Amino acid sequence: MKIEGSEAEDRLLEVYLYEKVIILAVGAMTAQQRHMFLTRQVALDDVSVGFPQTGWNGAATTLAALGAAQASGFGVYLGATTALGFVSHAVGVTLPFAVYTGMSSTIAFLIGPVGFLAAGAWLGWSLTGPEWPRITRGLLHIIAMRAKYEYECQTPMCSSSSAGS
Amino acid sequence: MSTQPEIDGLRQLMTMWTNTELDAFFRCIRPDDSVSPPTEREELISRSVEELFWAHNSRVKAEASYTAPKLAVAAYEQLPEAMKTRVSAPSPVKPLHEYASPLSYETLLRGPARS
Repeated sequence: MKIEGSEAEDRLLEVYLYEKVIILAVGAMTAQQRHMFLTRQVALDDVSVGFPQTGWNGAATTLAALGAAQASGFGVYLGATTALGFVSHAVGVTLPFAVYTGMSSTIAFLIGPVGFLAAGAWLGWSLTGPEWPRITRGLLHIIAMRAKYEYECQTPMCSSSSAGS
Repeated sequence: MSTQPEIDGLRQLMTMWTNTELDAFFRCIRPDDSVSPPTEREELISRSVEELFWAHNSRVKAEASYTAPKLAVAAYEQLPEAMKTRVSAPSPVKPLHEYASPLSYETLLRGPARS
């Protein structure tokens, strides 16, 4: 999965990574699926619960929320969980993770395993090489968590961290 | 020398995560669905770091590098005492992960971008 500008700083590269995954997934959709992804409104309430000061809740298209909420960290979180929703559902990973349900249950029906496999051609695998599908899923999760906890540490929520709950 | 593989900065980051988030992370990186997430928090963190480490590094390659010093130590131990005094002892065998490449979050992040 070659990303132009891969020398960019980490934070920017995180954004490039989930954007690339989303683009590949969207590229593998049928016209109807793509239209639904671009225009369907998703409930942001569950996803934005960790970002109360951004004021993002209610329904919005994924693209609108991604574009408007970058600065707060919510956009990074939303982008990474959206990309992870594509990747994890397609490979049969069921995540008992509340924040994914709002996004990925919606997204799950938009793209099937066949579509993902086409998009997943970039994730080459060999016996001795890195297992990029697993690594990419892990990275997307880490990116989402970094965005969430960095945001929390800029707010009073940081002192009452929910770790261990 | 750590007995478990480490990924620079990741364990510290994971200490902030909830158990549900840790569980979800393990499910993202486990080799297949038959591998159940550990129930204990500390084990969940350790196993997750280990799984991600070995997803990036080849266990086959590491084991190949690990075998040579292991054989050298075994051969040295078979030598008669008289010969041992004249042959220098081989380096002790390190944990398997020491024969793999060190890993950091940045290495992981930049990997997919270049592949």
